[in-house]
Amino acid sequence: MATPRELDAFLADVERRAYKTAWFAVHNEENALDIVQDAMMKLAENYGDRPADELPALFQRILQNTIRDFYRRSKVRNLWTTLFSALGGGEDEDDQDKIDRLRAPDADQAERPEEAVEQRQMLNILENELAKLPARQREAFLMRYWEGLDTAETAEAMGCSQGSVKTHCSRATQALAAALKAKGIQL
Amino acid sequence: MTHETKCPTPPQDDLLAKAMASALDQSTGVLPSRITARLAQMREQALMHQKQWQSALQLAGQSTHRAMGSIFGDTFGSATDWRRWAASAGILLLAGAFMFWQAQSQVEDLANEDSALLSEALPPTALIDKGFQTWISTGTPAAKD
Repeated sequence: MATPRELDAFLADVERRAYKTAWFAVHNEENALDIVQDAMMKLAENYGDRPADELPALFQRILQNTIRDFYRRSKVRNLWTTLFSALGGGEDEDDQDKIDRLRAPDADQAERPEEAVEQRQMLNILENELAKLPARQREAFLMRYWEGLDTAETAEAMGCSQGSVKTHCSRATQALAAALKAKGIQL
Repeated sequence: MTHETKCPTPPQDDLLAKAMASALDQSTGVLPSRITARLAQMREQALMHQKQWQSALQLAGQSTHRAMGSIFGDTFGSATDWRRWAASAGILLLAGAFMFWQAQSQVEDLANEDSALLSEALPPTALIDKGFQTWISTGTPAAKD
């Protein structure tokens, strides 16, 4: 069973990456924080008695499910908003504007201190490209390479086969590499 | 990058991906302080709700019951189980006492009736005699057929 100290250490280690993972998915600071909070609480409340070595895979599964729940709720909310807008007959902004607004990073996110301009630019491009990846590819890539889960753990967390994980990872890596190359960045 | 990098072999895939992940690691180091503070706060809240570690009292209870469990089996796993056992035993005890009292009073009633019948001067057969019943209700003997 994970002790409070072990759980604390695990969460401290994973929380920043979890926040960024959620942010890549929802492009909003508050929503990303809410998602991480939900995931942390669910892990502690429901799986706090599990051994410490099971926590990483469990947390990733919970995080991805929480992100999916957020998508579902947003979808329903958007459906109602669209319906009411249509009924009201009011002039609404273009769909493209909505997408742009959704995708635009928070203003304060853009004002991070610049230690190395090139590095920062590269990171921004990489993050933007990651955010553009299909959700399953991004999930697989981040879990497999950023969280360091092995293929079996990633497959279990994503609820798919190991072959699918490998395919998602490969496609994600190729897409990211191609996007970086197009911007003149070599890793 | 060449065409080969666009369709890399698995080891190249891995190397590229790891390089990107390592670059991403740097981005977590420059998160605004308000976000890192919120994350730390969330972590503390989550720790307060950790399953099995919610209170020292519960923990103490669990260790006692685990010890009891080793003697009596796994059903003695938690404080809630103990409360359930105690409540069930109490209810069973009350039900048993009530049934015993009911049985005793039935026996006593029957004994009283028997003794009353036997102590009467009237023979018990008179009570099932039709003529006697009529005589009791009207005060006159039944007419002879």
